[in-house]
Amino acid sequence: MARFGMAVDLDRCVGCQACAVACAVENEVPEGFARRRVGEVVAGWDLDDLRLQFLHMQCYHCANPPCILVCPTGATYINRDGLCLVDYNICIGCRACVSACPYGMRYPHPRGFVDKCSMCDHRIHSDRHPACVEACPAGALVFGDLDDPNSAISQAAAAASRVEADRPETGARPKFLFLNARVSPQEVRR
Amino acid sequence: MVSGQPYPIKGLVSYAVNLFHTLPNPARTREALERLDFHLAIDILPQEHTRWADVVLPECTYLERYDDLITVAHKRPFIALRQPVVQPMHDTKPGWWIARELGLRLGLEQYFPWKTIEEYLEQRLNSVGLTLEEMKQKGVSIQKGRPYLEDWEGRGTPFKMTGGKIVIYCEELAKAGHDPLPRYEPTPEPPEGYFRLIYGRAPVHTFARTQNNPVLARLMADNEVWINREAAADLGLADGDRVMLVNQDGARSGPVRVRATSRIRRDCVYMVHGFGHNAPGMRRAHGRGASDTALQTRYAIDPISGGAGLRVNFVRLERGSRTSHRAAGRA
Repeated sequence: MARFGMAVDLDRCVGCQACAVACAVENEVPEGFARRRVGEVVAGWDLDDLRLQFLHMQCYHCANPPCILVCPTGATYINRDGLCLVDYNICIGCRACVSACPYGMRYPHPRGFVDKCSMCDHRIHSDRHPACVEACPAGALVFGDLDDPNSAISQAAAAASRVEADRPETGARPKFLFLNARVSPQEVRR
Repeated sequence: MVSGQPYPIKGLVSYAVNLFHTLPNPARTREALERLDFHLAIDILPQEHTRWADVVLPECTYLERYDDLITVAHKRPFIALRQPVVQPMHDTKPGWWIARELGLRLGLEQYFPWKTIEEYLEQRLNSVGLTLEEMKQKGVSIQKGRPYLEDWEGRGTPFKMTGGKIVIYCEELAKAGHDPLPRYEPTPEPPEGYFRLIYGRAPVHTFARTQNNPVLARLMADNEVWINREAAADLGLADGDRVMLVNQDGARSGPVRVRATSRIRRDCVYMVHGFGHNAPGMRRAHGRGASDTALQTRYAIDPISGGAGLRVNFVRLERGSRTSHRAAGRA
């Protein structure tokens, strides 16, 4: 039993997208879709107050995810480690969850099911990190058990000067933490 | 190559270098290639310069071949092995095989006393007490030996200039008849209606050689021309409009999307290097974005170091016949 989550330390991220490459290759994500993306956002208007922020987009593995509520077949579920996963054999590809996700992190796979970040559930039980975390050259991505105060993610969150989740008002309770953001996730969405 | 001075160059082997994206002024590169009697290109991709080759020897990619050992002596000495993880696809060969076979056919067999790269690597590794089998497992071997940078601690400096590592006023330059304290010399300003073309890199792509990679192309399929918001507004251009870039000598590249931003000065435009491929074989990269090298018909040479300054070219933005709104996929 664990409560797995992920964090990105935005003081470290250089926007190289090695995570997105590793994710696409590891999970054989078809061309034209992505489980993980890194965008950039610029806040401010004048040169003097411009702030640049890299934006990390992937399933947040929410504790109270709306995608589960709308799934007619029970294909989307939360496993014993707190990960929100899709059982591709049960999913009928109706896309209700794609609409329900308040963060837009799911996509319809051409083979007839809905796909999204699985936090590399196939890797993490054999002492490996998710592919994106392993690929990050800056150590910006951190994965671990939020219930364990000694885990890498708990330590990183404790050391950060700012810890935020994307739009808490959705009530979904994301388990993806933005650390040390210069442009808060809230400001980004405005 | 163009002038034939100090001696004529008749043959060229280009290995892993795209001459049309590495060098400024592709028109002059074409002129030089036209004067060759023979051009051999060895590459992994059907890039522009391979179409100018009499013979193309297609190499397999780095995941399909052994290469010579990587040996780094400075700071923390190490030996690294590049090894194949899959068999070569298509009719391609590793660089070592190409070099050896060419050598044998030219009667240079005494330089190739080994038959396979494994034999060659084994012998090199044995000389430092390693084996190829061991290196296949480890990949990298940290070596003993004093790191180069620590060798000098407390014992002066490895830098030969008077004054050591950081020199403001350089005696050596004065002795050689150069300005010992470089003075700023202004470069020409852009003419009316033109912007200074500056260029740089994006972390997703490496030089001009990864734009055709399917995974990287989906992250960044083309480049954009950055222009100051106010300057764009003055020209009636909006974010996402497509323009041709035309330089002071009439060289053109594009079409390329406009990115209106506050992140650049009014007198400059910026673009990421490596786009604007025009070899049809580069299926994903062909015709995507604009090429900075195509617009660099002029360059300045630093009289002391010989370094080339390429940011002395000016471009204007010519509105394309088609305009599209902000392309999808931009955050």
